Amino acid sequence: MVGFIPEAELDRVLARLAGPYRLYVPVSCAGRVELGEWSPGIRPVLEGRAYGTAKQLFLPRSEELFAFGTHPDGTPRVVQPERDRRPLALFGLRPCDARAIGMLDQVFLGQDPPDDPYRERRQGALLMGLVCSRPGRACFCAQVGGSPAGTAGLDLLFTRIGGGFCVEAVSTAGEAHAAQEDWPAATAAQVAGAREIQQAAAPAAMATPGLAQELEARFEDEVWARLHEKCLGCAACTFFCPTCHCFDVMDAGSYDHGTRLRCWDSCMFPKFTLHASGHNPRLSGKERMRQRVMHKFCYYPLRFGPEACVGCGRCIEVCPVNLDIRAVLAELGGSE
Amino acid sequence: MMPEAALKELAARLLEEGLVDLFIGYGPGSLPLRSTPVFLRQAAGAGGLILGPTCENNLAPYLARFPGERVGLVVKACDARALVELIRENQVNRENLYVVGVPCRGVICRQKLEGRLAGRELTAGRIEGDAVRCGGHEWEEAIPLDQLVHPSCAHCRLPAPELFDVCLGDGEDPVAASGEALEARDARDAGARYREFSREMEKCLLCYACRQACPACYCPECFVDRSQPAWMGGSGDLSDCMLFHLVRALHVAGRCVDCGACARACPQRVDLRVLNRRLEQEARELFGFTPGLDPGHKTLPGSFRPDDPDDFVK
Ligand code: SF4
Ligand code: SF4
Ligand code: SF4
Ligand code: SF4
Repeated sequence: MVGFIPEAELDRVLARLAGPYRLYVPVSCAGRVELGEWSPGIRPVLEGRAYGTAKQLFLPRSEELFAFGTHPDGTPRVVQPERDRRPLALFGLRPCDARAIGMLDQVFLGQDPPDDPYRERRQGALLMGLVCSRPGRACFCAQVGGSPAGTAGLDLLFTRIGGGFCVEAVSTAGEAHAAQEDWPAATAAQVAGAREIQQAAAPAAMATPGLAQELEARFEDEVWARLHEKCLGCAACTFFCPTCHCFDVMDAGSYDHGTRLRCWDSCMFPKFTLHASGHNPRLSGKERMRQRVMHKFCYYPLRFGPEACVGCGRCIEVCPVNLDIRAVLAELGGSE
Repeated sequence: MMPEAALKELAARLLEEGLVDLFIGYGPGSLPLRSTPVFLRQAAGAGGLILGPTCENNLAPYLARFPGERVGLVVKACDARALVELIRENQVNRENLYVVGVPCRGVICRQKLEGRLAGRELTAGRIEGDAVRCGGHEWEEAIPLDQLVHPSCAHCRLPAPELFDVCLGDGEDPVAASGEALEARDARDAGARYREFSREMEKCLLCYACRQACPACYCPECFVDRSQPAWMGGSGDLSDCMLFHLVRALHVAGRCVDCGACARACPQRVDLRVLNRRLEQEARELFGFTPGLDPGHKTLPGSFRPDDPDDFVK
């Protein structure tokens, strides 16, 4: 069933979520769209995708895994951090971002054992997506197998039509939530309107088949020397990528008293692969940039299927030297 | 001849005649009002070179990657100042360089532009004289360039390149930086300045784009990348961010040319000039030294006079 929420009702729908959930929506922040925690009076921005990723809600920039110390009698003491344990709800998520969360799920939940801190945040989260009626200037989701109306990773799909939103449950959790909310059914005309918008947004191009295999054979290709030339070797692209998930585990404090942290790391940093011996197998920016591209378009797809890039375009927007992943793919013979 | 046309011709000639092995300049970017660094090894690509207010990167940091090669490099005035420092510090060999100075009226500050567009997506943009013509879905707006120039440019008191082999646009396109007055020493109390500093540092993610974009940050191994001992945590919490930026500030003091490349590289819009303009000001006011000028002078951190002021040492 397709439900309908009039535009004026949205606020009430969000308010109901905000108690049991930690609710995040796209908000306007000095000319940028960012994900912000909803509170009464906040109007979600319905145009454009957020500058930052939803990844940071599930895999924060830095998180305390536990604190450690010693009891007065000298025995070790480990303390789990206090957290807001309400599940997350995200409204206005773009289909690319939801798809990216699905990829993080593969890495953090699809393994044995699953990753506890990630699972804690991810479990029970409600992902409410919004169809992109007008893809942005750096978007290329359709070229990497996604769609501006895609439902992968989502629980509920919202399509904005005149006067409100058509809402469809696209997962079991979404169905349960829709049943509970009991939204009035959309009229046939409203459903037709939503379908039209979804179809207009549907992919124009499809992913390049065989790119992963082809890249595997091009590890030593000369092209890498040229491709990385202007790259500065910062972590802007990886930190803002919704599928990049590399982390470092470190201790803060002293040997017998401190916290163990998990923090974002980046394959673009020289220290990322530095061995204790001092040897570094990825010596220069060339090897590091190759790793970034290969991980997304070769290693991950060979292992899990789709590319580890959802075409959100964030790396294109944040790169200080405008190194465009679409151009890189074009040079490598991929999509675009 | 317009500077851009002259640049294309010059770069083609330098490469064709083998006077340089590599020419580093700017080409059109993939997003509106962006340019991107280009590396030419053949004259054929020279026609794609561009100049103008979208050329926001400082290209000097790239030089370290091409030791021993003869490189042609496009420099705006601030980039040229950075080059003076690199030469002073024996980081680049002047003999291997062909420096092309270009006129500059300031580069666009994407942060100011974002604020001005207030959430509208820019899908087309071009510079027409003094106007930046912006456009998106069902809207168009022309914004005067001087309202969009980066704060470093607005304060640029030295908008003509100091160092060059050729300076394009010699006089015909006089450099028209808005030359805002020298800033007065920040009179706010320490608390207010600390709050401003904290507010900026809270945004930082420690992605190190600022460091990577900076011509003065060329250490083969940055102190933050040491793990034995670890001088700093990498968690990105406020104290880590403050520590990184304060140590970086000390390391670039008297060397920072206020080119603003670090601030423009920052994806989080951290106002790094909170520190940088102060560094430049202190070097000038206390030691009468302006980084990037006077190539014959010793480095500021490397020179000592018995009568150097020391009343800031408490
Ligand atoms: S953001 Fe750009 S400069 Fe920084 S590492 Fe990525 S590609 Fe390189
Ligand atoms: S690689 Fe770039 S375009 Fe692809 S998902 Fe990551 S940030 Fe988005
Ligand atoms: S610190 Fe920033 S302003 Fe100073 S030289 Fe480096 S990039 Fe330029
Ligand atoms: S570029 Fe910005 S976010 Fe990145 S380390 Fe520098 S100040 Fe922090």
